[in-house]
Amino acid sequence: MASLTAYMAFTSRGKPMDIKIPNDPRALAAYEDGKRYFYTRRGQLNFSCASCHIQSPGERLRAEILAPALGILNAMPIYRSEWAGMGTTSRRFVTCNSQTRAVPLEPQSDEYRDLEYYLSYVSNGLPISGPGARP
Amino acid sequence: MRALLAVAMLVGGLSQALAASEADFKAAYAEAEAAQKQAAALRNQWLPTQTALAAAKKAGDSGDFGGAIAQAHEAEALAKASIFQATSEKERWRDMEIH
Repeated sequence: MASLTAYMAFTSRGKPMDIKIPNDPRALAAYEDGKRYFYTRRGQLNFSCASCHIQSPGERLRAEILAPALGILNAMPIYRSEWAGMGTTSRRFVTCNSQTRAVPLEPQSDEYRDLEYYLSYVSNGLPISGPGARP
Repeated sequence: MRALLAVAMLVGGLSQALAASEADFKAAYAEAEAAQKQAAALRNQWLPTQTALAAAKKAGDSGDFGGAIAQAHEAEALAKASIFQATSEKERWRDMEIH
């Protein structure tokens, strides 16, 4: 999955993100659920995605520099030194959840997919730059 | 004869105390596990709860019921905190939302 999305991102480099939400109640519900997940605090550290990626982009989390939410998915999938390989967006969400001391959800769970949908939509217009690399 | 009786009473009392401790541990562990299941239903389990539950089981298996009960209580408190978080965040997440 990571290899396939890396290929798709590479062939789309430089093109703007262009996610459309059809006028379908299921699509709208997925978008809203993704937004709710993004802002919901979880884990023993009581962090939401927004705590790092809206309130603290540019700050350091050990060796990592926190990326802003807008455009964060444009560089996906990513090669991470920590993983010694490529990883999907879902895999990154698993790591994020663990860092807040929450038990991660299953990769490609509905919640993660909805979150990916929401984050992709809010990055509309920004150029795709994936696959990316992180520490 | 009196000494023998005293030893028998001591052993009997000790095993009764140990049995009570094991029963207390099982009850405390069941409570913690039930709270953790509730957190799972809310899709909001915490990693430290899992760690505390595992530590409680390990202590219980080794016969350290005092330590096991303490860990089970810790796990229950953490699970209840995660339940509170998930419940309150059903509405509170909007406080962080930017428009």
